[in-house]
Amino acid sequence: MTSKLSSVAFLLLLFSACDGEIQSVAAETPQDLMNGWVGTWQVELELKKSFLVPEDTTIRGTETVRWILNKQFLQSQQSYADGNFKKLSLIRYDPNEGIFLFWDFDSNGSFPMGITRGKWDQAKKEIVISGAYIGGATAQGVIQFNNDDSAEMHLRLTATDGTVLLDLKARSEQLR
Amino acid sequence: MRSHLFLFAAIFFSLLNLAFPAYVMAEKDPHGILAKRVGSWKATVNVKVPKAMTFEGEEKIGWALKHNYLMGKGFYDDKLDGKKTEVINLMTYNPLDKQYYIWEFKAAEQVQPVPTVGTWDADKQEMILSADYGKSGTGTGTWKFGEDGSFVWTYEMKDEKGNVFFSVDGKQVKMETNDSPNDKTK
Repeated sequence: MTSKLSSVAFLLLLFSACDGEIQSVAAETPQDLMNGWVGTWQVELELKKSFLVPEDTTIRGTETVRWILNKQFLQSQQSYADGNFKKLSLIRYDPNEGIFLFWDFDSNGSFPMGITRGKWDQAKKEIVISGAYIGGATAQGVIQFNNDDSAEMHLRLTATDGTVLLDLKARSEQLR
Repeated sequence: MRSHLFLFAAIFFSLLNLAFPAYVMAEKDPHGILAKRVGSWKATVNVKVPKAMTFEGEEKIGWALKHNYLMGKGFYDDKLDGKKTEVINLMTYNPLDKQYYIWEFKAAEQVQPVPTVGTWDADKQEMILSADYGKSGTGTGTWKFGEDGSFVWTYEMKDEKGNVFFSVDGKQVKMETNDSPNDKTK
């Protein structure tokens, strides 16, 4: 069980856009969107069986999001598996490029292995995620907002030969 | 295939963290560089290019994420107007490629999504820094600790044609404080 949890924890780190950055919105702009992320959230992650996940797995945790650095970044602190696995994420919206950028660091010592970007589609109320990582792996995903207090994300990481390395679903609910 | 091998290696090391914590602690900071940076520092920065200027600041550095990262928080008067710019740094050592990785996040408009990568030169007793910013160019620099415990650094950025468009160096002197070196993200 410990090994399995460790593997899962490490995997979470690979995908910078994953768990934490999944929230709110009736927002009209990316800035509104980010304001809606501030607060405390309950997160559930479902990892489907894939090349890197030997069997379907679900883990739960909490996340606290706040503005830092003169509101240029959101900082997300996450705790999973009763605090045995922690993450620190930074999120920024680049108005020049019109994209979100995500950085994830965790208590296993893992760190961003590439660049993960997100593009906000206001009409669809979703963020389209794309990532490019060391070794040629890529990520494609989407964050869909159900309302201001909940959202879901699907993310798939694929190797250069088409092998699905990870298939992840996440649900996030704001705690009141 | 190469990506699979890399991922397997990464997972293996992740599991090793749990199995052999003492070994991993040594591998987290084999040259003692990270430990030397822990503390509160008074900083002086000298910009040479594009326009010469000197400014000062302070930085507080401690362990984060269960001793896997150094996290620094600094305030610099980089506009010389008394309004200090906040900076957050994260730094770690990756035993897989034996390199250091440094991220800098500023309360400013520009941000580099990629880290600066450092390699320890044991002969020179200094860290050799490099970064690839893609179309924005490249960066190179050094980190070194003086015999008096001070921290001295240089950094230079070049465009794709090799023209230097930013050059800076700096020195930090450790301040005596009662700060706890404990994890900042517990």
